[in-house]
This record gives sequence, structure tokens and C-alpha cells, in this order.
Amino acid sequence: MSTVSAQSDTRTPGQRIDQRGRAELEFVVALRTGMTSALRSQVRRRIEESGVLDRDTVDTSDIVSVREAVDPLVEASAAHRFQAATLRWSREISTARGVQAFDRSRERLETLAVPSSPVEDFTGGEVPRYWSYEFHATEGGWDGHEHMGFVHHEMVYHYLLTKIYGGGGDIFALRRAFADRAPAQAYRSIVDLGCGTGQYTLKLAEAYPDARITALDLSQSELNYAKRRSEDAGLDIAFRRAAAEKTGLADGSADLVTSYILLHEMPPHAIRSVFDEAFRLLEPGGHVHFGDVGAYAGRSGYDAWNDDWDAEHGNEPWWRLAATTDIAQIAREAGFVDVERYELLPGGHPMGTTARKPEEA
Amino acid sequence: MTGGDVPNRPHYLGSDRLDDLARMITELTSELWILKDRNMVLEKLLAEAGVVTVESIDSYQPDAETAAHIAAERSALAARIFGAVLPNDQRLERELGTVHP
Repeated sequence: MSTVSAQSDTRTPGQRIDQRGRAELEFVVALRTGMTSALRSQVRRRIEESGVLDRDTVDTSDIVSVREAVDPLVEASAAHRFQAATLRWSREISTARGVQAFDRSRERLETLAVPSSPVEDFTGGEVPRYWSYEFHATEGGWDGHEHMGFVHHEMVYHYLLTKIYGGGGDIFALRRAFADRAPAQAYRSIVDLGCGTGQYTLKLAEAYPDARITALDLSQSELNYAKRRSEDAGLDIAFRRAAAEKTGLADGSADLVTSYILLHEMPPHAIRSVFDEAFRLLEPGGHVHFGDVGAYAGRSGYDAWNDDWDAEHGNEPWWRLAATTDIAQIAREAGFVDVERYELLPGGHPMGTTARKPEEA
Repeated sequence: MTGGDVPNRPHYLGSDRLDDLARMITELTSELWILKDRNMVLEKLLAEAGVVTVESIDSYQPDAETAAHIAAERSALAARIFGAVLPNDQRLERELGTVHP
């Protein structure tokens, strides 16, 4: 019997799972931060010492050749094969076990997961084909459970990924830094495309407290939890279920159209459509501001190989295309000017793309 | 519901059977950890409730009857696990109780 009352419970919602769920997810963290990362370091040394990716001659934009040079080398390594198998296991089970933990404590957790009312669906039941793919090796895809948004955000992100990737720090801080990097000091009307559970949306609200923010996504469960999070934070954000390339919003209704890690979840033809849609939504002089994966051409040989290997084995079906497509050219073809491409962290990943709709457009 | 397109599961260890075995071992280790974690929680809660202390568990010496019971269980576990590599007929005989470990 717990002696902690609901009022004094300072745990995040995802920490309020049962002992089995906590121990199970903590085991995954231990596996990923301990054994798997140690073996990955060995694999990296093996690749770098082999000389197959000569720093002076390697062309990382030709990712097929990079993979052909490195894959046979790593596949001959027991360390690589074993870490790959373990990594795959952890990816396959994480969301599924999060869902099971939620269901075991559903009565307690559901009250923390639902918004005042569900987010309205503007898709008319039509969702793009690419969205049905099982991204990230998650069972059932983005809406595989009615509370997948809660499970992803509170269990997979907060419980696992912040510990695996964040070193205990704030892995969401980069979203705030990216929001701050938009060209204007202030915005009046912001559209956040592919908002998920609102990780970036809430940072936008911090950075531009006077802006009206509209956030959209295709996942009903992620949207519902985003709305709940914004309500808990006392924010008034308009959420809607719609595709980024078919928002249903009015022409010229925004002065900033932005997204964070959306573009690599869609094929290049959809990226083009998203830039076209952003152009339509923006008033003249408005900005488009997209943060996404680093272009392989700007990555080191090892990083480019690792990005591509990880994308393939982590079920990121469009990452390679997003990392090898000329995003700046797509922006220019959509009519944008002052197109900038820049890295958000040293090493070339992630990258930002920022541009302006001409005043005369 | 989405999730119509499920990609093939990759294999890493040279054969699907080895990958399956690695998955089984990782899964077993996970289950073992969940139990160990629960055992630690139990010991802590039992100590807090004044039922037993960790020291009393650590210093426990089985009496003759309990020691015999533990030894029999230990032998059976070892036989099942290490007996898994025996030929089929020997494993079957063991399961049927016609031979002793």
C-alpha cells in the first residue's frame, strides 16, 4: 500500500506504472546504456581503424557505397551482430511493454491521459499511404492503442529515451533552441506541423507566448495527449487532426509555419507537398522553419553509415531519402527565398531549414 | 488502427534460429531482472513492516529438512537445464523418471 497521496505525488505520469513495468523499462535502459553502447564503441573503432572510410576521400552523399564498404566489415564482427540483435529486441518490445503497463494500471493512468474533449478530425478519413507504415518498430503504428500518445511520451520518451540519449539532461532543450532560432523576434500566428505529443509545440508556446498556435498531426492518440499536456500547462493551443500537406487552414493565415523532426517521416513527394502547403499558409514575408535529420553529405563517414544503418534497422523508412534529398532546392522550387540550411549541433545532425515567403508573392 | 505494413524482421546472428535463441535469452534475462527487482522491493517492504530483515534472510541456515528440499529442487533445475543438450532418448527417460540425474 502506497503512503503517497495523489496530491503529493511528484512523479511524472509515466513513472506511476507498476513495479513490473518500471523494472522492465529500466532493464531496457540498462541494456541500451550499458552493453549495447559499449559494443557500439567497439564497432566504431573497428570501422575507423579499418580505413574503409578514408576521411579525405569518403563521399558520404553516396550512402550506397558507404554501406557497401562498411556493412561486410561490421557483419563479420560478433560485437556488432550481438549489439544489433539486442538493440532490435529492445526496440521491438519497448512500446508494446509500455502499452501493457498502461493497460495494467489503466484505471489510474487514463485520468492522466485524456484531454477535456478529443481533438477534432479534419482528415475526412483520408490519410496518406506513408503514414500506415510501422515506424520505429512500434507495434500497431502511431495509433496502435487509443493512448499511444501517453505511452510514447511518458513511457518511451520520458522513461527510456531521456535516459538512453540524454545523459539525464533535457533532450527536449534542442526543440526550444530551434524554436528560438526562427528569424523574427515575435510571431502572431504559428502552425506546427506533425506536432505528435506536443514536445515542440509547448516549446513554441514558451518561446512565443503571445502567438496563436495551431498544431496538427495525423495520430489521434498523439494529438489527444498533446492537448492534455497543453491543458495541464494552462495553454490555449488549437489542435486538429490533419496531414501536414493538407491542413485545411486558410491561405495566408500564418506568419510562421514550422515543424521538428517531421520531414524524415515522409517520402520526398510529400516533403514537396508540405513546402507547397507551408507557402500557401504563410502571409507574404512569413517564415518556414523546419528542423530535421542531418544530410549525409555533411556527416562524417562513420556518422553517415551509422545514421543509415540505424534508420534501416529502426524502421525509419524515409530517413535515407530525407538525408539525401536537396531540401533547400525543394524550398526554392516551392517559391521560398533566403533559404538557409544549417546544423543544429556540431557533426551535422539535426539540421534546420529556414526560408521566407517573398513579400510580393 | 494503423500498422498495415510490417517490415520483415531482420536477423543478425547468422541464422534465424540463433536470433530466436538470443531473443529468448534476452527475454528471460528481462524476466529474471523483473523478479529480482520485485524481490528487492519485497525485502524492503517486509523489513519496513517488521516481518523479516535483509540480515535475517542473509544469515538464515536451513535445517536438515529444508536443506534436503532445496537440494532436490536445485538438482532438478540443473538437470533440466544442462540436460537440454542430451540426446532425445536420454532426456525422455529423465522426464519419465526411468533414470536418475
